[in-house]
Amino acid sequence: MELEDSYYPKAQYIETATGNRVSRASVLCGSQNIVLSGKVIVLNGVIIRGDLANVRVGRHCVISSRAVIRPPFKKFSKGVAFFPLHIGDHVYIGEGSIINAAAVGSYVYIGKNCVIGRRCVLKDCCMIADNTVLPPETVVPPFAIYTGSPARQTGDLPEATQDLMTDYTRSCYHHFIRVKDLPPQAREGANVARLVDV
Amino acid sequence: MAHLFQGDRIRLLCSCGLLKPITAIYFCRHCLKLRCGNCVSHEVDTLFCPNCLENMPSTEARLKKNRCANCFDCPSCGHTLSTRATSIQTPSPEDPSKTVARKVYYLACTSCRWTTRDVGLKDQTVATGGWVEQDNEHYKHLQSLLEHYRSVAQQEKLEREKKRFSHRKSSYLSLSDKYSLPSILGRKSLTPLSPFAHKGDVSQTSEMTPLEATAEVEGLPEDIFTEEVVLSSVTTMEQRLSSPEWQPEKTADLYPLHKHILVKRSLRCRHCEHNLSKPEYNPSSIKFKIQLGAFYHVPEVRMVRQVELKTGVETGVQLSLCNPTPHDMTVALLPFVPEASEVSLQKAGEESVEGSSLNTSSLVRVVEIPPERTDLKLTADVALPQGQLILAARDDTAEYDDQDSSPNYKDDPQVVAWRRANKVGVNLLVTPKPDATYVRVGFVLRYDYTNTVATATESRTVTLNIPVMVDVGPVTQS
Amino acid sequence: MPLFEGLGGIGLINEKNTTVVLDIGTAYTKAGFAGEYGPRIITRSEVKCRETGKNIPLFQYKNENELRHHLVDFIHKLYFRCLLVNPKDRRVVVVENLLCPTVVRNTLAKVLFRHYEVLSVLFVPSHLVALMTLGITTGLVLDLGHKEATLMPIYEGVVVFHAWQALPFGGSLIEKSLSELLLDRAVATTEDGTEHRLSSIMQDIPNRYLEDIKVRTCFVSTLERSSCLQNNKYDRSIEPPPPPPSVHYPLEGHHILTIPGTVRELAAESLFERDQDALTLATLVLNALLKCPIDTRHKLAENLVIIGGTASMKGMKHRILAEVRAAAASEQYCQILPIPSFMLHHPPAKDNYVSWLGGAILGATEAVMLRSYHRDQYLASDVVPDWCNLSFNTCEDRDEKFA
Repeated sequence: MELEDSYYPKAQYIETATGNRVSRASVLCGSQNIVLSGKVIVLNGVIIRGDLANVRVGRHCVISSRAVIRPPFKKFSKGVAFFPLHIGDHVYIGEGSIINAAAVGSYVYIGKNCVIGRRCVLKDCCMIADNTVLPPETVVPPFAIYTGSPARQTGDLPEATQDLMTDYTRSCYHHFIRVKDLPPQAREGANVARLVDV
Repeated sequence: MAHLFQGDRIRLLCSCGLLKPITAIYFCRHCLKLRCGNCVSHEVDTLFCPNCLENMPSTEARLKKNRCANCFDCPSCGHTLSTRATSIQTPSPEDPSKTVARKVYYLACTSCRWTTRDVGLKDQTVATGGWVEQDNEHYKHLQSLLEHYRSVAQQEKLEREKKRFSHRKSSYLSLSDKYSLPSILGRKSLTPLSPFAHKGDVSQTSEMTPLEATAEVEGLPEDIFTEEVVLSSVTTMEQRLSSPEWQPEKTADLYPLHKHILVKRSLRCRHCEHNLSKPEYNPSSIKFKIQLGAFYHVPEVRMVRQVELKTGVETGVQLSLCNPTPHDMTVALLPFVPEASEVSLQKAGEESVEGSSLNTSSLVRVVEIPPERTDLKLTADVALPQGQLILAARDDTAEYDDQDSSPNYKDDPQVVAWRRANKVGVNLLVTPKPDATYVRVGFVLRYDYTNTVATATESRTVTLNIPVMVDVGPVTQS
Repeated sequence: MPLFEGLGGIGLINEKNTTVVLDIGTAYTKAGFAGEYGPRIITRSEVKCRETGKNIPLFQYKNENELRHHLVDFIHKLYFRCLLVNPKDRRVVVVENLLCPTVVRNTLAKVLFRHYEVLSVLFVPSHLVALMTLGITTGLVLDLGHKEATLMPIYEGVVVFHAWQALPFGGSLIEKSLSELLLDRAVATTEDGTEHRLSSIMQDIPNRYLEDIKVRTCFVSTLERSSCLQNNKYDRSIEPPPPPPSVHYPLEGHHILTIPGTVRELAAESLFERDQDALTLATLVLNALLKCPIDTRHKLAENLVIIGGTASMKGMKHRILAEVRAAAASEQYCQILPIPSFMLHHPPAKDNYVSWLGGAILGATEAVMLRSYHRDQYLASDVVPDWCNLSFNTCEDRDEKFA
């Protein structure tokens, strides 16, 4: 199934020179510490905690509504230190997921309502199914599907995952169309400016 | 997530007869056929630990029983254990009256909070390793048994060889005589494995002492009728079976488990022995040395949007075709007849044997897998666009071009609904059959494939037919 | 020794390609390598259904094709998830029950030879190889599995096949009666603190809960208590023994199930209640002895071996031994089967993988090379020799060919 078009009103989004589309209804704390590398979509209600440590998000990522991206911390005997959080290219983060990982590779799919615990490492091309809880310090190897709480590997992704994710995040971007004002039928629907994909 | 999850709405008919989504299918460039997980041979390529992501040579993996030496799993919930450090006060070696702080390490689960201290394991002074392994309590006995039976089998082998030389009728040593049915017994072919064949020369096999039976067995514990059961102290089946040799019944007997390693698989075509997929050595790499997925060689078919279907009503269904190869492709959609396609599949199979288009070695004897039978019943009539169309080559730079620079194709508007880079939209007209509740249509995708194998002698483009099944969706009753 | 066992355990004859030993059971499958002292994994015999993606039992199938697909997927999982070796050109020892359906056996052979191209397969009878772990050659082996209890007497290494016994008394029967008892007697407390009968909350209890309750709380009562309870059924004046304490069991996150002590005690009683044919586990043993030649009976009775997952239930072996002794002393048997003593063996392994261990010991010897059924033989004829197939057991000329 090809993605369907979804529309966003120009006034509600900021489009940067590199093509990032960031909802005005998102919270980007410490924006000087946040790098969005280009063509990143940040939907409404997203919180990115750049005030704790640097957050870097690669190209063509999609961060769905109400997701929280928060750099991980580590307790030391003298106190707590936060570490930077890197997210690779072509990463999809589902609605309401909380990301506390140390690193998220490229071509990663994170489903809805997931909790990615402190200092997890998600390698390239992996998938976290909806409603999964990844306990702290989990390492997810490439091409693995993790499900459940505590998460376990339950399947494998196809070899073509890299291209599937590239294609998917690209078409998310291309089908996310700016309009001056929302068409009347879209305004009626509750999900204004949401990706109508799933 | 649209096409990662709904990919199996559109399935291709593999040469073995199973329907699979395009991501689960491979295209053998040498046989020019579709292959899938069912009809290729899988091989273990490299072994690695999923936690520390380090490679492990196969010899080492064999010695370590496929488990990582450094990473541990929680015996209680199965999550990876983390090493925790604390410092303790110990008497100083020089001056016993003073104490010094020493770092000690223990393992803790970040998910269920189990620690090695819970089960009374001593903290370690080194950060990695040092945990004592559990022993199999029957080790000695089993070792002597193994030696005993080895010598018995050795004896049997020698006897057999003797018999072979003396050209005597050797006993039927195939499978059935182990059951030692009376008819076989009558022929005096005692099961050779019976150690009693060697009762005479005990000298060679004397190390083994058989276990003795006892008249009494351990009964129920005295307090079972009075004592409350604390559920949290009794292990679950899963916890028991994660250490098969010990199977602890109490949570107090749980022991950290070495992490089980994983494999990267490579795939090989059964017919021509060429690799279809071979991953790179590095465990965290997602690249492949060889990757012949159908996704990269066969035009990808997708449904553009879900449509509502009504019994007997002709509905337009739009499909998109996408060319993944760097060559232009001529594509046509042909009607799909299930019975005929089976025949043509078989025929194609025969042809390839005779013609051996690109088969490198005809010496390889192929073990055929049993034929698969898939239900190819179509539940709707479909009107396909007539005529051919050209799919533009894939161009990775197209993304960076602002204007559409694709050359003009003289498209028949009857066939092509829209065109974007290497994608083309086509319209089908689907009429659900009267009794159908779910619409499934099929067609044969005919396309010209440009072969890139260097050894190809004949024409580099070949025309291939691939049967495609589309699950269009449920029928709403009108 | 678990880790770093060394090559000694694996054996020099096939050091590179260690033989794989499989024991595929109805509920659990044991898999590992020959020459090792425990299986690498014991996993549920379940596969993902190709159509629905749900986990279903391996041996739940509509036709042979479906069974083959299940086996293909399952064995793929075993090799590439658990054993991590190439199946191709490697030998396999399959520990099988002699009463295993022919279709399962043939399909397994087809999958191993055709899909995975294994070098050879050696089918070994589970009861016989179980004795190899003890180093004895005579014994009465009772296998208490999930689906059924099967019994084979073995005398001097020969299966006394004529005396086999089987009853559908296994783990699943305990689970079934546990389910009935729970629905009848158990009380569940919901989140708001109100109590309901379990039967008003759910029609049937999912199998995984039944298994968990069985394993963690149930036990096999003693013979004395059991008969006391039995008598109480018919004569209310006899005071029943005080029940064991009840257990609070969390069910599906929002119910607390109170499992009465009587349920814990009675769940396994179904194995010892006489069915319509007046058969129990005890009569199973005695009937088998009756069918054995008269001069072997004493020795067999002194070498009882009880294996299988269900045997590891608390008190099970003790109870069986007590039941057998009681039955032997009863009127029905004391005249025709005068046996002074019954003795039980203790295999050097957990009950659920004794047969696997036997297969692993056998698999580490050269017998594997001599007695296996080779891939070429299979591909030539497409049949697997079997004891119940007369073309393999009577024709002398076939023997010549295969020898």
